[in-house]
Amino acid sequence: MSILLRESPNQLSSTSALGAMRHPSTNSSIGSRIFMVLSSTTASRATADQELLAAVEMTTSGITLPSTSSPEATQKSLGVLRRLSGLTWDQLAKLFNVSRRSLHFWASGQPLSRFNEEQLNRLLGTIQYIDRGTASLNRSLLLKLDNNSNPLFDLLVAGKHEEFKQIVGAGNALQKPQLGSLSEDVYAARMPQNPADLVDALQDPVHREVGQSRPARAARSRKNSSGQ
Amino acid sequence: MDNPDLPEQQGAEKIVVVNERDVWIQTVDTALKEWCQGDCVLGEHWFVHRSNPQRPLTLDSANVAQEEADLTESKVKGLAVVTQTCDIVRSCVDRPFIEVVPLVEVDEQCFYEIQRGRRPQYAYISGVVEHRLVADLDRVMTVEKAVIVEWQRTPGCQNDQDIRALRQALARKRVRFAFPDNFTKFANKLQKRMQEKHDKTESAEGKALRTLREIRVRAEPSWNASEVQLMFWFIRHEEQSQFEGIGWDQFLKQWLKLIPEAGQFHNVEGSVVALEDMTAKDYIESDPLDLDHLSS
Repeated sequence: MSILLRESPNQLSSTSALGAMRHPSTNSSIGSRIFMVLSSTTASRATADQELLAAVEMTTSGITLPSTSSPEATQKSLGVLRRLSGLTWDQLAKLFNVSRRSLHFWASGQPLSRFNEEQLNRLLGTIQYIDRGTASLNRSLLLKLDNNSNPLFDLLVAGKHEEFKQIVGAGNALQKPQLGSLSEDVYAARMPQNPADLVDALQDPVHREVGQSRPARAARSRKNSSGQ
Repeated sequence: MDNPDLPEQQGAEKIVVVNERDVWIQTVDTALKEWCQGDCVLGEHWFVHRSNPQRPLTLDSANVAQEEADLTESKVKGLAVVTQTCDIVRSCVDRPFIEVVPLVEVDEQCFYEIQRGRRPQYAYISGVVEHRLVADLDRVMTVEKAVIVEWQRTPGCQNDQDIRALRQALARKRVRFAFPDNFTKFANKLQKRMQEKHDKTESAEGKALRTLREIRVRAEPSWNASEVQLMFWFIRHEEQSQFEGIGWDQFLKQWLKLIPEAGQFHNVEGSVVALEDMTAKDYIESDPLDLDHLSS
Protein backbone atom coordinates (compact mmCIF):
# COMPACT_ATOMS: atom_id res chain seq x y z
CA MET A 1 0.00 0.00 0.00
CA SER A 2 2.63 2.49 0.99
CA ILE A 3 4.55 1.81 -2.22
CA LEU A 4 1.42 2.39 -4.22
CA LEU A 5 0.70 5.65 -2.53
CA ARG A 6 4.23 6.84 -3.03
CA GLU A 7 4.51 5.86 -6.66
CA SER A 8 2.58 7.39 -9.47
CA PRO A 9 0.06 5.23 -11.32
CA ASN A 10 2.31 5.43 -14.30
CA GLN A 11 5.13 3.77 -12.51
CA LEU A 12 2.78 1.03 -11.51
CA SER A 13 1.16 0.27 -14.80
CA SER A 14 3.95 0.94 -17.21
CA THR A 15 7.58 0.70 -16.36
CA SER A 16 10.22 1.10 -18.99
CA ALA A 17 11.08 -2.56 -18.56
CA LEU A 18 7.43 -3.54 -18.84
CA GLY A 19 7.25 -4.93 -15.39
CA ALA A 20 10.49 -6.84 -15.47
CA MET A 21 12.03 -4.35 -13.07
CA ARG A 22 8.91 -4.14 -10.92
CA HIS A 23 9.25 -4.12 -7.17
CA PRO A 24 9.33 -7.67 -5.79
CA SER A 25 6.26 -7.01 -3.71
CA THR A 26 4.12 -6.43 -6.81
CA ASN A 27 1.76 -9.24 -5.95
CA SER A 28 0.56 -7.33 -2.96
CA SER A 29 -0.57 -4.53 -5.21
CA ILE A 30 -3.88 -6.11 -6.17
CA GLY A 31 -5.18 -5.94 -2.65
CA SER A 32 -4.09 -2.36 -2.39
CA ARG A 33 -5.73 -1.48 -5.65
CA ILE A 34 -8.95 -3.11 -4.63
CA PHE A 35 -8.80 -1.07 -1.47
CA MET A 36 -8.33 2.02 -3.57
CA VAL A 37 -11.34 1.14 -5.69
CA LEU A 38 -13.49 0.75 -2.64
CA SER A 39 -12.38 3.94 -1.04
CA SER A 40 -12.27 6.12 -4.13
CA THR A 41 -14.96 8.43 -5.42
CA THR A 42 -17.20 7.50 -8.32
CA ALA A 43 -15.30 9.76 -10.64
CA SER A 44 -12.05 7.97 -10.08
CA ARG A 45 -13.54 4.50 -9.82
CA ALA A 46 -13.30 3.68 -13.47
CA THR A 47 -9.71 4.84 -13.53
CA ALA A 48 -8.95 2.60 -10.66
CA ASP A 49 -10.78 -0.21 -12.49
CA GLN A 50 -8.43 0.26 -15.36
CA GLU A 51 -5.53 0.09 -12.99
CA LEU A 52 -7.00 -3.08 -11.58
CA LEU A 53 -7.31 -4.58 -15.04
CA ALA A 54 -3.75 -3.62 -15.74
CA ALA A 55 -2.66 -5.17 -12.50
CA VAL A 56 -4.51 -8.41 -13.20
CA GLU A 57 -3.09 -8.56 -16.67
CA MET A 58 0.28 -8.07 -15.12
CA THR A 59 0.10 -10.41 -12.19
CA THR A 60 -1.85 -13.48 -13.32
CA SER A 61 1.08 -14.56 -15.40
CA GLY A 62 3.68 -12.86 -13.28
CA ILE A 63 4.74 -10.49 -16.04
CA THR A 64 3.16 -7.61 -17.88
CA LEU A 65 1.99 -8.60 -21.32
CA PRO A 66 3.77 -6.50 -23.85
CA SER A 67 2.07 -4.74 -26.68
CA THR A 68 1.62 -6.76 -29.85
CA SER A 69 2.07 -3.71 -32.08
CA SER A 70 5.41 -2.43 -33.23
CA PRO A 71 6.71 0.74 -31.57
CA GLU A 72 6.30 2.50 -34.92
CA ALA A 73 2.62 1.57 -35.07
CA THR A 74 2.17 2.83 -31.52
CA GLN A 75 3.92 6.09 -32.36
CA LYS A 76 1.67 6.54 -35.39
CA SER A 77 -1.51 5.80 -33.44
CA LEU A 78 -0.53 8.15 -30.65
CA GLY A 79 0.31 10.84 -33.19
CA VAL A 80 -3.07 10.44 -34.90
CA LEU A 81 -4.84 10.52 -31.54
CA ARG A 82 -3.10 13.78 -30.64
CA ARG A 83 -3.76 15.38 -33.99
CA LEU A 84 -7.43 14.34 -34.15
CA SER A 85 -8.34 15.05 -30.55
CA GLY A 86 -6.47 18.33 -30.20
CA LEU A 87 -5.88 17.39 -26.57
CA THR A 88 -2.77 18.46 -24.72
CA TRP A 89 -0.23 15.96 -23.46
CA ASP A 90 -1.61 16.48 -19.95
CA GLN A 91 -5.15 15.72 -21.05
CA LEU A 92 -4.07 12.65 -22.97
CA ALA A 93 -2.07 11.45 -19.98
CA LYS A 94 -5.25 11.73 -17.92
CA LEU A 95 -7.08 9.52 -20.43
CA PHE A 96 -4.47 6.81 -19.98
CA ASN A 97 -4.02 7.49 -16.29
CA VAL A 98 -0.29 7.79 -16.78
CA SER A 99 2.17 10.65 -16.48
CA ARG A 100 2.90 13.01 -19.32
CA ARG A 101 6.44 11.69 -19.35
CA SER A 102 5.15 8.16 -20.06
CA LEU A 103 3.33 9.45 -23.11
CA HIS A 104 6.49 11.15 -24.31
CA PHE A 105 8.35 7.88 -23.99
CA TRP A 106 5.62 5.99 -25.86
CA ALA A 107 5.82 8.65 -28.58
CA SER A 108 9.57 8.03 -28.65
CA GLY A 109 9.14 4.32 -29.25
CA GLN A 110 8.87 2.76 -25.81
CA PRO A 111 6.62 -0.31 -26.04
CA LEU A 112 3.26 -0.14 -24.30
CA SER A 113 1.71 -2.81 -22.15
CA ARG A 114 -1.07 -4.68 -23.87
CA PHE A 115 -3.56 -2.94 -21.63
CA ASN A 116 -2.40 0.51 -22.64
CA GLU A 117 -2.23 -0.54 -26.26
CA GLU A 118 -5.88 -1.61 -26.12
CA GLN A 119 -6.76 1.63 -24.44
CA LEU A 120 -4.95 3.54 -27.17
CA ASN A 121 -6.80 1.68 -29.90
CA ARG A 122 -10.14 2.15 -28.16
CA LEU A 123 -9.57 5.87 -27.74
CA LEU A 124 -8.43 6.24 -31.31
CA GLY A 125 -11.49 4.38 -32.55
CA THR A 126 -13.76 6.61 -30.50
CA ILE A 127 -12.16 9.86 -31.63
CA GLN A 128 -12.24 8.71 -35.25
CA TYR A 129 -15.94 7.92 -34.81
CA ILE A 130 -16.82 11.40 -33.54
CA ASP A 131 -14.32 13.23 -35.78
CA ARG A 132 -15.77 16.57 -36.91
CA GLY A 133 -12.91 17.31 -39.26
CA THR A 134 -10.66 19.56 -37.19
CA ALA A 135 -8.77 19.14 -33.96
CA SER A 136 -10.29 22.28 -32.48
CA LEU A 137 -13.87 21.09 -33.10
CA ASN A 138 -13.12 17.66 -31.68
CA ARG A 139 -11.42 19.18 -28.67
CA SER A 140 -14.42 21.44 -28.02
CA LEU A 141 -16.67 18.40 -28.08
CA LEU A 142 -14.46 16.50 -25.70
CA LEU A 143 -14.38 19.38 -23.25
CA LYS A 144 -18.09 20.21 -23.59
CA LEU A 145 -20.00 19.94 -20.32
CA ASP A 146 -22.73 17.36 -19.85
CA ASN A 147 -25.96 17.88 -17.90
CA ASN A 148 -24.09 17.45 -14.64
CA SER A 149 -21.53 20.07 -15.63
CA ASN A 150 -18.81 17.49 -16.12
CA PRO A 151 -16.78 17.51 -19.32
CA LEU A 152 -17.70 14.68 -21.71
CA PHE A 153 -14.00 13.94 -21.66
CA ASP A 154 -14.57 12.39 -18.20
CA LEU A 155 -16.62 9.61 -19.80
CA LEU A 156 -13.54 8.54 -21.72
CA VAL A 157 -11.43 8.78 -18.59
CA ALA A 158 -13.96 6.42 -17.02
CA GLY A 159 -13.75 4.12 -20.01
CA LYS A 160 -17.40 4.72 -21.00
CA HIS A 161 -16.73 4.90 -24.71
CA GLU A 162 -20.14 3.76 -25.92
CA GLU A 163 -21.94 6.28 -23.75
CA PHE A 164 -19.65 9.01 -25.02
CA LYS A 165 -20.25 8.01 -28.65
CA GLN A 166 -24.02 7.97 -28.12
CA ILE A 167 -24.03 11.46 -26.64
CA VAL A 168 -21.68 13.02 -29.17
CA GLY A 169 -22.78 11.11 -32.24
CA ALA A 170 -20.90 10.13 -35.34
CA GLY A 171 -18.75 12.72 -37.04
CA ASN A 172 -19.12 13.95 -40.55
CA ALA A 173 -15.55 14.87 -41.30
CA LEU A 174 -14.82 15.53 -44.91
CA GLN A 175 -12.01 13.56 -46.41
CA LYS A 176 -8.89 15.72 -46.41
CA PRO A 177 -7.04 15.99 -49.71
CA GLN A 178 -4.33 13.38 -49.92
CA LEU A 179 -0.99 15.01 -50.59
CA GLY A 180 1.74 13.27 -52.51
CA SER A 181 5.41 13.37 -51.58
CA LEU A 182 7.77 16.18 -52.43
CA SER A 183 10.68 15.30 -54.68
CA GLU A 184 13.86 14.28 -52.91
CA ASP A 185 15.61 17.48 -53.99
CA VAL A 186 12.89 19.72 -52.66
CA TYR A 187 12.69 17.74 -49.45
CA ALA A 188 16.44 17.99 -48.97
CA ALA A 189 16.40 21.72 -49.73
CA ARG A 190 13.88 22.23 -46.94
CA MET A 191 15.98 20.47 -44.37
CA PRO A 192 17.25 22.62 -41.55
CA GLN A 193 20.97 22.76 -40.95
CA ASN A 194 22.23 19.47 -39.61
CA PRO A 195 22.57 19.70 -35.79
CA ALA A 196 25.99 18.05 -36.03
CA ASP A 197 27.22 20.87 -38.27
CA LEU A 198 25.69 23.50 -36.02
CA VAL A 199 27.30 22.17 -32.92
CA ASP A 200 30.67 22.03 -34.64
CA ALA A 201 30.40 25.62 -35.84
CA LEU A 202 33.67 27.51 -35.95
CA GLN A 203 33.42 31.17 -35.07
CA ASP A 204 36.91 32.55 -35.70
CA PRO A 205 37.48 34.91 -38.66
CA VAL A 206 39.52 33.16 -41.34
CA HIS A 207 39.61 35.46 -44.34
CA ARG A 208 42.50 37.43 -45.69
CA GLU A 209 41.93 41.19 -45.87
CA VAL A 210 43.24 42.99 -48.92
CA GLY A 211 45.02 45.27 -46.47
CA GLN A 212 44.43 48.62 -48.13
CA SER A 213 42.31 51.31 -46.62
CA ARG A 214 41.76 55.04 -46.92
CA PRO A 215 39.73 57.66 -45.12
CA ALA A 216 36.33 57.99 -46.69
CA ARG A 217 35.01 61.31 -47.81
CA ALA A 218 31.79 62.16 -46.08
CA ALA A 219 29.28 64.86 -46.69
CA ARG A 220 26.70 65.27 -44.00
CA SER A 221 23.06 65.72 -44.88
CA ARG A 222 20.98 67.39 -42.22
CA LYS A 223 17.74 66.87 -44.09
CA ASN A 224 15.74 63.74 -43.64
CA SER A 225 14.06 61.90 -46.48
CA SER A 226 11.01 64.15 -46.33
CA GLY A 227 13.21 67.17 -46.93
CA GLN A 228 12.96 68.60 -43.41
CA MET B 1 -5.96 58.80 -92.91
CA ASP B 2 -4.45 59.26 -89.49
CA ASN B 3 -1.59 57.00 -88.58
CA PRO B 4 -2.27 55.74 -85.08
CA ASP B 5 1.44 54.98 -84.55
CA LEU B 6 2.47 58.58 -84.97
CA PRO B 7 2.30 61.19 -82.24
CA GLU B 8 -0.83 63.29 -82.30
CA GLN B 9 -1.16 65.65 -85.21
CA GLN B 10 0.02 69.17 -84.93
CA GLY B 11 -2.58 71.33 -83.40
CA ALA B 12 -3.63 68.77 -80.80
CA GLU B 13 -1.27 70.58 -78.44
CA LYS B 14 -0.47 67.59 -76.21
CA ILE B 15 2.77 68.31 -74.43
CA VAL B 16 4.67 65.44 -72.81
CA VAL B 17 7.01 66.72 -70.17
CA VAL B 18 9.85 64.32 -69.62
CA ASN B 19 11.45 64.78 -66.24
CA GLU B 20 15.14 63.89 -66.26
CA ARG B 21 14.85 62.30 -62.83
CA ASP B 22 12.01 60.07 -64.04
CA VAL B 23 14.21 58.86 -66.86
CA TRP B 24 17.07 57.74 -64.73
CA ILE B 25 14.76 56.29 -62.10
CA GLN B 26 13.38 54.13 -64.86
CA THR B 27 16.92 53.27 -65.91
CA VAL B 28 17.78 52.22 -62.36
CA ASP B 29 14.59 50.20 -61.97
CA THR B 30 15.15 48.43 -65.28
CA ALA B 31 18.76 47.61 -64.45
CA LEU B 32 17.86 46.32 -60.99
CA LYS B 33 15.30 43.90 -62.44
CA GLU B 34 18.27 41.76 -63.46
CA TRP B 35 19.65 41.54 -59.94
CA CYS B 36 18.89 38.91 -57.34
CA GLN B 37 19.89 38.29 -53.76
CA GLY B 38 23.37 36.75 -53.80
CA ASP B 39 24.50 38.44 -57.02
CA CYS B 40 28.00 39.86 -56.86
CA VAL B 41 30.22 42.48 -58.38
CA LEU B 42 33.89 41.55 -58.69
CA GLY B 43 36.98 43.70 -58.96
CA GLU B 44 38.31 46.58 -56.93
CA HIS B 45 35.63 47.93 -54.62
CA TRP B 46 35.69 49.94 -51.45
CA PHE B 47 33.73 48.99 -48.39
CA VAL B 48 32.86 51.76 -45.95
CA HIS B 49 32.37 51.53 -42.23
CA ARG B 50 32.34 54.05 -39.42
CA SER B 51 35.21 53.85 -36.99
CA ASN B 52 36.54 55.72 -33.98
CA PRO B 53 39.93 57.25 -34.75
CA GLN B 54 40.73 57.32 -31.01
CA ARG B 55 40.09 53.60 -30.69
CA PRO B 56 40.58 51.88 -34.02
CA LEU B 57 39.70 48.21 -33.75
CA THR B 58 40.78 46.92 -37.13
CA LEU B 59 43.92 47.22 -39.17
CA ASP B 60 42.02 49.19 -41.78
CA SER B 61 40.66 51.75 -39.33
CA ALA B 62 44.06 51.98 -37.61
CA ASN B 63 45.61 52.88 -40.95
CA VAL B 64 43.38 55.93 -41.30
CA ALA B 65 43.10 56.84 -37.62
CA GLN B 66 45.94 59.34 -37.70
CA GLU B 67 44.01 61.39 -40.22
CA GLU B 68 41.22 61.69 -37.65
CA ALA B 69 38.89 59.97 -40.13
CA ASP B 70 35.84 58.34 -38.65
CA LEU B 71 34.82 56.71 -41.92
CA THR B 72 37.12 53.97 -43.13
CA GLU B 73 37.10 52.61 -46.65
CA SER B 74 38.62 49.16 -47.05
CA LYS B 75 39.57 47.69 -50.36
CA VAL B 76 37.71 44.42 -51.08
CA LYS B 77 37.69 41.94 -53.93
CA GLY B 78 34.01 42.28 -54.57
CA LEU B 79 30.61 42.72 -53.00
CA ALA B 80 27.57 40.49 -52.73
CA VAL B 81 24.01 41.73 -52.51
CA VAL B 82 22.13 40.42 -49.49
CA THR B 83 18.89 42.38 -49.86
CA GLN B 84 15.99 40.09 -50.70
CA THR B 85 15.16 39.91 -54.39
CA CYS B 86 11.62 41.20 -53.88
CA ASP B 87 13.05 44.42 -52.43
CA ILE B 88 15.76 44.67 -55.06
CA VAL B 89 13.23 44.75 -57.88
CA ARG B 90 10.85 47.18 -56.21
CA SER B 91 11.10 50.69 -57.61
CA CYS B 92 14.00 52.71 -56.28
CA VAL B 93 11.50 55.46 -55.51
CA ASP B 94 10.05 53.34 -52.69
CA ARG B 95 13.10 51.23 -51.93
CA PRO B 96 16.23 53.23 -52.76
CA PHE B 97 18.71 51.11 -50.80
CA ILE B 98 20.51 47.83 -51.25
CA GLU B 99 22.59 46.03 -48.63
CA VAL B 100 25.88 44.51 -49.69
CA VAL B 101 28.55 42.54 -47.87
CA PRO B 102 32.20 42.23 -48.82
CA LEU B 103 33.56 39.21 -50.67
CA VAL B 104 36.66 37.91 -48.95
CA GLU B 105 39.24 35.30 -49.85
CA VAL B 106 39.76 32.19 -47.73
CA ASP B 107 42.03 29.17 -48.00
CA GLU B 108 40.82 25.88 -49.42
CA GLN B 109 40.14 24.17 -46.10
CA CYS B 110 38.11 27.10 -44.79
CA PHE B 111 36.32 27.35 -48.11
CA TYR B 112 35.19 23.75 -47.74
CA GLU B 113 34.05 24.38 -44.16
CA ILE B 114 32.05 27.41 -45.27
CA GLN B 115 30.45 25.42 -48.05
CA ARG B 116 29.34 22.89 -45.44
CA GLY B 117 27.92 25.64 -43.25
CA ARG B 118 30.39 25.21 -40.41
CA ARG B 119 31.38 28.87 -40.31
CA PRO B 120 28.30 31.00 -39.73
CA GLN B 121 30.21 34.25 -40.21
CA TYR B 122 30.48 33.48 -43.92
CA ALA B 123 28.14 32.49 -46.72
CA TYR B 124 29.02 30.32 -49.67
CA ILE B 125 28.18 31.94 -53.00
CA SER B 126 28.41 29.41 -55.80
CA GLY B 127 28.82 32.05 -58.54
CA VAL B 128 32.22 33.16 -57.22
CA VAL B 129 33.60 29.74 -56.35
CA GLU B 130 36.37 29.93 -58.92
CA HIS B 131 37.83 32.95 -57.14
CA ARG B 132 37.57 31.18 -53.79
CA LEU B 133 35.60 34.13 -52.45
CA VAL B 134 32.91 33.98 -49.82
CA ALA B 135 30.55 36.58 -48.37
CA ASP B 136 31.60 38.02 -45.02
CA LEU B 137 28.29 38.42 -43.18
CA ASP B 138 29.83 40.31 -40.27
CA ARG B 139 29.86 43.56 -42.24
CA VAL B 140 27.04 45.15 -44.19
CA MET B 141 27.12 48.36 -46.25
CA THR B 142 24.12 50.23 -47.59
CA VAL B 143 24.32 51.66 -51.09
CA GLU B 144 21.77 53.46 -53.19
CA LYS B 145 20.43 51.45 -56.08
CA ALA B 146 21.79 53.93 -58.62
CA VAL B 147 25.30 52.82 -57.62
CA ILE B 148 24.55 49.26 -58.65
CA VAL B 149 23.57 50.31 -62.15
CA GLU B 150 27.27 50.92 -62.80
CA TRP B 151 28.28 47.44 -61.64
CA GLN B 152 28.90 44.39 -63.78
CA ARG B 153 26.62 41.71 -62.38
CA THR B 154 28.03 38.27 -61.60
CA PRO B 155 25.18 35.84 -60.87
CA GLY B 156 25.61 34.48 -57.34
CA CYS B 157 23.14 31.64 -56.94
CA GLN B 158 22.88 29.11 -59.72
CA ASN B 159 19.76 27.24 -58.64
CA ASP B 160 17.03 26.97 -55.99
CA GLN B 161 19.31 25.00 -53.73
CA ASP B 162 21.91 27.79 -53.76
CA ILE B 163 19.22 30.36 -53.06
CA ARG B 164 17.95 28.38 -50.08
CA ALA B 165 21.45 27.81 -48.76
CA LEU B 166 22.18 31.54 -48.86
CA ARG B 167 18.87 32.37 -47.24
CA GLN B 168 19.61 29.81 -44.52
CA ALA B 169 23.06 31.30 -43.91
CA LEU B 170 21.60 34.80 -43.60
CA ALA B 171 18.85 33.59 -41.28
CA ARG B 172 21.33 31.66 -39.17
CA LYS B 173 23.41 34.80 -38.77
CA ARG B 174 20.59 37.23 -38.12
CA VAL B 175 17.44 35.44 -37.00
CA ARG B 176 18.77 33.44 -34.08
CA PHE B 177 16.51 33.26 -31.09
CA ALA B 178 18.22 34.77 -28.06
CA PHE B 179 17.86 32.13 -25.36
CA PRO B 180 18.28 33.39 -21.79
CA ASP B 181 21.76 32.95 -20.34
CA ASN B 182 20.43 30.57 -17.70
CA PHE B 183 19.14 28.26 -20.38
CA THR B 184 22.43 28.39 -22.24
CA LYS B 185 24.16 27.10 -19.13
CA PHE B 186 21.37 24.62 -18.51
CA ALA B 187 21.62 23.03 -21.98
CA ASN B 188 25.40 23.03 -22.05
CA LYS B 189 25.81 19.35 -21.15
CA LEU B 190 23.56 18.32 -24.00
CA GLN B 191 25.64 20.30 -26.44
CA LYS B 192 28.87 18.95 -25.02
CA ARG B 193 27.56 15.42 -25.54
CA MET B 194 27.00 16.26 -29.19
CA GLN B 195 30.51 17.60 -29.52
CA GLU B 196 32.13 14.38 -28.36
CA LYS B 197 32.49 13.16 -31.93
CA HIS B 198 36.19 13.57 -32.09
CA ASP B 199 36.81 12.10 -28.65
CA LYS B 200 37.54 8.45 -28.21
CA THR B 201 34.88 8.53 -25.51
CA GLU B 202 32.10 9.18 -27.99
CA SER B 203 28.93 7.83 -26.47
CA ALA B 204 26.11 6.15 -28.35
CA GLU B 205 23.65 8.78 -27.19
CA GLY B 206 25.99 11.53 -28.40
CA LYS B 207 26.17 9.83 -31.77
CA ALA B 208 22.40 9.46 -31.86
CA LEU B 209 21.97 13.15 -31.02
CA ARG B 210 24.11 14.08 -33.99
CA THR B 211 21.94 12.15 -36.41
CA LEU B 212 18.76 14.02 -35.50
CA ARG B 213 17.06 16.28 -38.01
CA GLU B 214 16.53 19.11 -35.58
CA ILE B 215 16.23 19.85 -31.87
CA ARG B 216 13.59 22.31 -30.71
CA VAL B 217 12.59 23.47 -27.27
CA ARG B 218 9.35 24.91 -25.94
CA ALA B 219 9.18 27.06 -22.82
CA GLU B 220 5.90 27.26 -20.94
CA PRO B 221 4.51 29.75 -20.08
CA SER B 222 7.40 31.85 -21.37
CA TRP B 223 11.17 32.13 -21.21
CA ASN B 224 10.87 35.02 -18.79
CA ALA B 225 8.70 33.25 -16.23
CA SER B 226 10.06 32.49 -12.78
CA GLU B 227 9.17 28.83 -13.28
CA VAL B 228 9.56 27.47 -16.77
CA GLN B 229 8.36 24.10 -18.00
CA LEU B 230 10.54 22.84 -20.84
CA MET B 231 9.69 20.44 -23.61
CA PHE B 232 12.51 19.25 -25.86
CA TRP B 233 11.51 18.01 -29.29
CA PHE B 234 14.20 15.70 -30.62
CA ILE B 235 13.10 15.46 -34.23
CA ARG B 236 14.41 12.38 -35.98
CA HIS B 237 14.43 11.57 -39.67
CA GLU B 238 11.21 9.88 -40.73
CA GLU B 239 12.86 6.72 -41.99
CA GLN B 240 14.98 6.31 -38.87
CA SER B 241 12.55 4.63 -36.49
CA GLN B 242 15.48 3.33 -34.43
CA PHE B 243 19.13 4.21 -34.20
CA GLU B 244 21.61 1.36 -34.67
CA GLY B 245 18.96 -1.11 -33.56
CA ILE B 246 18.19 0.74 -30.33
CA GLY B 247 14.83 2.39 -29.66
CA TRP B 248 14.86 6.16 -29.37
CA ASP B 249 13.21 5.93 -25.97
CA GLN B 250 16.46 4.49 -24.63
CA PHE B 251 18.40 7.50 -25.88
CA LEU B 252 15.75 9.86 -24.60
CA LYS B 253 16.33 8.58 -21.08
CA GLN B 254 20.02 9.38 -21.36
CA TRP B 255 19.45 12.80 -22.90
CA LEU B 256 16.98 13.81 -20.21
CA LYS B 257 19.61 12.98 -17.61
CA LEU B 258 21.76 15.70 -19.16
CA ILE B 259 19.07 18.29 -18.61
CA PRO B 260 17.75 17.71 -15.10
CA GLU B 261 15.47 20.24 -13.45
CA ALA B 262 17.50 23.19 -12.26
CA GLY B 263 16.90 26.80 -11.27
CA GLN B 264 13.83 28.16 -12.97
CA PHE B 265 13.50 25.14 -15.25
CA HIS B 266 10.99 22.63 -13.91
CA ASN B 267 9.26 19.64 -15.44
CA VAL B 268 11.81 19.12 -18.16
CA GLU B 269 10.30 16.73 -20.68
CA GLY B 270 11.35 15.44 -24.06
CA SER B 271 10.13 13.31 -26.90
CA VAL B 272 11.77 11.82 -29.97
CA VAL B 273 9.42 12.24 -32.88
CA ALA B 274 9.30 12.44 -36.64
CA LEU B 275 7.99 15.68 -38.13
CA GLU B 276 4.70 14.04 -38.97
CA ASP B 277 4.16 13.28 -35.28
CA MET B 278 4.29 16.96 -34.42
CA THR B 279 1.45 19.35 -34.93
CA ALA B 280 1.99 22.75 -36.53
CA LYS B 281 1.23 24.15 -33.06
CA ASP B 282 4.03 22.10 -31.51
CA TYR B 283 6.40 23.36 -34.14
CA ILE B 284 5.65 27.05 -33.99
CA GLU B 285 5.49 27.13 -30.21
CA SER B 286 9.06 25.86 -30.01
CA ASP B 287 12.40 27.40 -30.95
CA PRO B 288 15.28 25.64 -32.66
CA LEU B 289 18.04 25.00 -30.17
CA ASP B 290 20.86 27.42 -30.96
CA LEU B 291 23.57 24.82 -31.16
CA ASP B 292 25.91 27.30 -32.85
CA HIS B 293 26.27 29.41 -29.78
CA LEU B 294 25.12 27.46 -26.76
CA SER B 295 28.58 27.22 -25.32
CA SER B 296 29.81 30.68 -26.24
